[in-house]
Amino acid sequence: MPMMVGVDIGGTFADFVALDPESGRITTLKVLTTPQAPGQDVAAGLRRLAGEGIAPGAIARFVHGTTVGVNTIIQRRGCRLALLTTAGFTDMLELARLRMADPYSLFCERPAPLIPRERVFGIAERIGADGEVLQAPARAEVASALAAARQAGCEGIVVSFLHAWRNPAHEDQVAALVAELEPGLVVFRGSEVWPAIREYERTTTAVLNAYVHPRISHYLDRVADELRTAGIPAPLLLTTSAGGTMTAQAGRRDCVGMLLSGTASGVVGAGVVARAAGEAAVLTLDIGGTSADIALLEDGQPSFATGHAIGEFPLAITTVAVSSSGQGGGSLVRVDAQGVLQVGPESAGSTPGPACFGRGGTGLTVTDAALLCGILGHGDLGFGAISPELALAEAAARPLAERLGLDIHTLAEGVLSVAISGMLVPVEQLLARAGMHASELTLMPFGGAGPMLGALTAEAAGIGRVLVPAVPGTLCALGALAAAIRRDTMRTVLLPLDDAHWAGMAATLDTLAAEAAEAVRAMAGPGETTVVRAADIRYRGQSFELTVPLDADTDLAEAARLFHAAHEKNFGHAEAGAALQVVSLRASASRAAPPIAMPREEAVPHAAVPQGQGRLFAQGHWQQAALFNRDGLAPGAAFRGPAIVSQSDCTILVPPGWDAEVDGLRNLILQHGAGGHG
Amino acid sequence: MRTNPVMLQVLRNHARAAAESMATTLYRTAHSTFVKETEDFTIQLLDAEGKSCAVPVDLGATWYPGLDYGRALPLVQGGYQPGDIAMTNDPYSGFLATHSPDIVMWKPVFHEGRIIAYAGGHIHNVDVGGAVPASLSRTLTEVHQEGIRIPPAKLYREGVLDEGLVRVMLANVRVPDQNWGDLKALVAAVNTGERRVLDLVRRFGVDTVVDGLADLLDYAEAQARAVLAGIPDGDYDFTEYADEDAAGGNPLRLCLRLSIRGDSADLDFAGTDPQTLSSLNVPTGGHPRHSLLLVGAYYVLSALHPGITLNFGTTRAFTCHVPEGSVLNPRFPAAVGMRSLTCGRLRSLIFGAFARAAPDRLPAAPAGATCIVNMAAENPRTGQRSISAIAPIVGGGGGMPHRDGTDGSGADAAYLKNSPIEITESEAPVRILRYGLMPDTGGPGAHRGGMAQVMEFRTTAPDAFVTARNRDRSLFQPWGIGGGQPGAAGSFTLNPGTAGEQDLGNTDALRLTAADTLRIVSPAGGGRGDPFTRDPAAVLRDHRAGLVSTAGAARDYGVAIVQDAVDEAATANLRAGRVAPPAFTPGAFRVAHEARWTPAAYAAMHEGLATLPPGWRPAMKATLFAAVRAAPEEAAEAVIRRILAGEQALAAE
Repeated sequence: MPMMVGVDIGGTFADFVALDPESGRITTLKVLTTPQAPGQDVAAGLRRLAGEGIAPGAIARFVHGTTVGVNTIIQRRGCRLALLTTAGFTDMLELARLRMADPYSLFCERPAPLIPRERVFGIAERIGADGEVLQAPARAEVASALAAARQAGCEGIVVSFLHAWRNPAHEDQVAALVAELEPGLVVFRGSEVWPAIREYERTTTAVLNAYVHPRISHYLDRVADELRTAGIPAPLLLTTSAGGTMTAQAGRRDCVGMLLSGTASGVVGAGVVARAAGEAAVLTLDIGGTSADIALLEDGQPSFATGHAIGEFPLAITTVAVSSSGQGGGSLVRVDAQGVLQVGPESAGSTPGPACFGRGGTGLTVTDAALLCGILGHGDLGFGAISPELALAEAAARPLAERLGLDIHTLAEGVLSVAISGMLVPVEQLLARAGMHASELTLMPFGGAGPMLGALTAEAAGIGRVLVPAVPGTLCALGALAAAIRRDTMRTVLLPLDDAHWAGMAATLDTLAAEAAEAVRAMAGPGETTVVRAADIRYRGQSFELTVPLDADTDLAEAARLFHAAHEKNFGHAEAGAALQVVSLRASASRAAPPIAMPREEAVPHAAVPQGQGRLFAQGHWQQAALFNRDGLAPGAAFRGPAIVSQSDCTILVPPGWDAEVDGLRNLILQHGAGGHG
Repeated sequence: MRTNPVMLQVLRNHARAAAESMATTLYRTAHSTFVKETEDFTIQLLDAEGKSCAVPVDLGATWYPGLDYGRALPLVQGGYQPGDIAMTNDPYSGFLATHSPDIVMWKPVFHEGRIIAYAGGHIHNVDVGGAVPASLSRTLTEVHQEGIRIPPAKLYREGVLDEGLVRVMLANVRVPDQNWGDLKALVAAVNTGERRVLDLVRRFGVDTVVDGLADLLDYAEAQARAVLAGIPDGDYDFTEYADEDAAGGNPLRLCLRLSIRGDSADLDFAGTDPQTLSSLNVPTGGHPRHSLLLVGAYYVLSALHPGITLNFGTTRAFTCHVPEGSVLNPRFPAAVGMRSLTCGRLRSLIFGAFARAAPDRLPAAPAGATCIVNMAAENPRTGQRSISAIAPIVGGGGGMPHRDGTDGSGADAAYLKNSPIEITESEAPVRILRYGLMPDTGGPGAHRGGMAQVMEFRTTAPDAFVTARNRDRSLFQPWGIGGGQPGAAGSFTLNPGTAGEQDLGNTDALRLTAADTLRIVSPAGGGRGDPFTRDPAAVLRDHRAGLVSTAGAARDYGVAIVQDAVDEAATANLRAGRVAPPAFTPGAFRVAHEARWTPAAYAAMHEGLATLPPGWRPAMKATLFAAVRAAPEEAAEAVIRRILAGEQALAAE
């Protein structure tokens, strides 16, 4: 029986999901991550899976998501690089796009570049905006820059020249010189990593790629070794930031392609659940220890965006669109000088963690507040890894409560309200960007703290429906299994959308489609490969573009019509007849993952029988709350809030005023009743 | 406070979310590229008196978090009904809009027949008509030349659009489709704001929301007062100069006495020069808490209390006194279009006064000139003549107590974004030859000032027209403090390094042929602390980064760099026996200016000007400056008294 295994490595835990694609049966487990010994956590998880009867030899698909790349950047532990760029522009990394994160402060600053200025070498070469060669690079100058780079102890070279998006010839020549003169140095070209217009973003993306390359390469070798040792026949697949997968071999060069894979897989996993449940518009809410990530799904499909931040740097490649805010389960609570309650952005993280975890944390966190309110504390957390201690949470709350003149439980409920209201900023921004109203949406909470705060967040945002997936803690690993093997190709063209240029652009699209399809075939072998094409189009003079999907036989007039319609939908207006410009052409090839069966059981409506009663502090007073175990809730089971549902990977709060029902897919659907408010 | 400490933070988050939602709606639906590119718009959630309670942080400009609509609100005729939306762009009606391209709009939020709040915002229109395209030029002298003026009026009456008003406005502007599109975006934003406030009322009850808005003001006020209370009581005087009060004009002086008493600050602008015969005037109406007067204070507060809440409550801790007829409180109908140049000096004036009050906690002057470079030329790719943005040329921040000034941009210029070179070259007939940091420009200091930016470019069109708005600090330098040296002045040079090299000074518009090269260097940030005490390793690091030359290291820092290393003996030699520099270093030009234009000379001029009607003062100021220049041997005060006496004699005849 061929099995599929997805592994998602997070900050504290590695999540494993093993799926029998025919029956849809899912086995999940968590092991502690081992950042000092990469691959050992994977090995440990595989041993435990074997113990559950999943033989390594039966694993036909193995998909892995890792944070090793993003951690390397955040901790600035990547390799020592030199940048060769066009003379006259050697301060490009310092200046970035000028605008700074905190523009009201006289002390604002830009992040220090990953390559300091003394290892940036200007090469007297120039290509014009139309791709014409104005000045060719001289061998001697490149050679002396490389000698200086070697002298400075560099392990790798990034070559990024102006207008290489249009004509990469100079980058190719210089990269060839590096290979000839300094064969020991790894070299990446800006045009190779992502050939988009905008020199700072393209160069930074190439720098990020080179910066993490050695560490990722080493990591992938170790994981591949572990798979071989364990006797797993499946090739190692990696999740990508665009919600797809790629082979480990491709990932060694395309390192930036996996930097945001963790959040992307979660959204893809949520999409699988949303499609199966028939939810048209879903807001995903992934609350972890330090942050909350939100994304929009329409018919189960995520949106895509470019320019996502990795640490302090923008990533030019296309990724699943996710917004973040600094509220998580570990967010610390404080009272400011004006006596007002604040939550985050400082976080207790996973070490020392919330006070109630008893690992040395003494600051009150959101998780502690949930425990004080009686939401947590009805069982162990995180697959039994942690037993929260109420007394420690009380001790952490007391000094703050005294300062505010509140009892600790009123304080704790306040902490949850403040944390939740803090998440509204990205939610409102996302909805305003999409032109959607909260009332159209279903909220899908996941992550360690999402289900605990999901319904309260929905209430604050004006969302009346919440869907808690059957196993919320494993959506990332599920998303990994559902993700297609995928390759995106892109070329900036910056041409008018008119008769004179259409045929040429159609030919470029064909080339991009063929390149993408070939890359997928190289990764996945022969088989049915889906290719989609798109163009990024804007009104001439605009600085922002919309991605318009095109068919192989879309004609010029249709492309224009599709753009005007997309502009109307996204921005509320369109100017038929205005001149259009194509910024970039794109293709995306994919090989679908084997379908995941989501067996639907018959849902016979019945009143769920609580396993007990607990006390919940809500709306300013203690009330009785029914306690349920998720495993004991059969399809069709219905109950009303206040109630608390415990399961191995999370706790779900059904607040007063909400009704809950289990659907045929074992999702828990919460509806805000007419009479309830909180 | 009326609201408990938990609910207040919940409401604060909700109010911020509502403001962000309004801003995102505006940004998403705006038509003009200008609005999308520059983010020159603001949003405010206002209380029932029109005081700004909450603003977005992620989108928009930084000038108006403390905006007060209070004087403009009652100028709308006929009172307010549900569904009304009002607007104005008249800088002289209620002192809400501060130049004519800024259209300010507001919508009252009614609950059970009572106004409980307003949703408001402004958007900078590309053009509102008038004498020149884009409606802005330093050379304009009356507000009438700066485009159509709409005094506070209803755009919507009970939900019905006043098409007559729209037709009149659109008939008077150059790109009516863009204006109308942007106006609709602003309408969508204030409607969003109204809906969000009513959502809050439904959720929390009207009393909680109304009290909460009031408490948000009190909260911001309390935070601002706590910062002021941490600054020693005293009177702190500071003076700033803009290079020119008109094209080719004379220095423009701004004066401030900052008086800190307990947790309050009094800002007296007495001694500030008269309004100008150019569009550099800042229309504040003498409002003691006009947001434009306090932008510098927002920056200081945010530096001393990171993340501080800014709204109208912030401004309550401050009281401004602005002489009528001065450049900071001009009398109608003085032109105001380019007030942004003067606002730059106004900000550094406030930075300077606070740096005197809290010298250990604040930085030296930032570069302080936010020059916006545009080019109009025929694009060979399209055959059409168009205007393209080339770049904002700004300079570094001032040296800080804890580190060097940010290079290339920083402090009050940090909100500006550049355009990628590749985009600029693809869209406009321009070739950029150099874009980066200018070495040896940052004011030397123990913590040096941030370096200047330099851009060199040529046009590939047969001829082009280049504008460089807000050029300043070509003469007066960004000051250093605590022994730090001033940042280098900016420069504007045609054909640098050739026989035909030409210094363009503060020129802000010129014709460029395909044979020409133009170089713009911004000013740079001032230094902080004696540069001869700077760690030689830091000087070496700057040297390796190409920011400080060998000569500069020796001259400015007393550090000898030989073969990529610090020569310690030579350095000790260079540093030995040096006299500590003065605490305040404004640069040679200012020292020379103040040697001639002494406080007594200025006092004599202001005394004389005060006897004239405001409209006459700029011309008399020009006369006096010319006379002082013409009599270099005579004390300036004597020249001024002589000329003024002659004028009075003439008037008496």
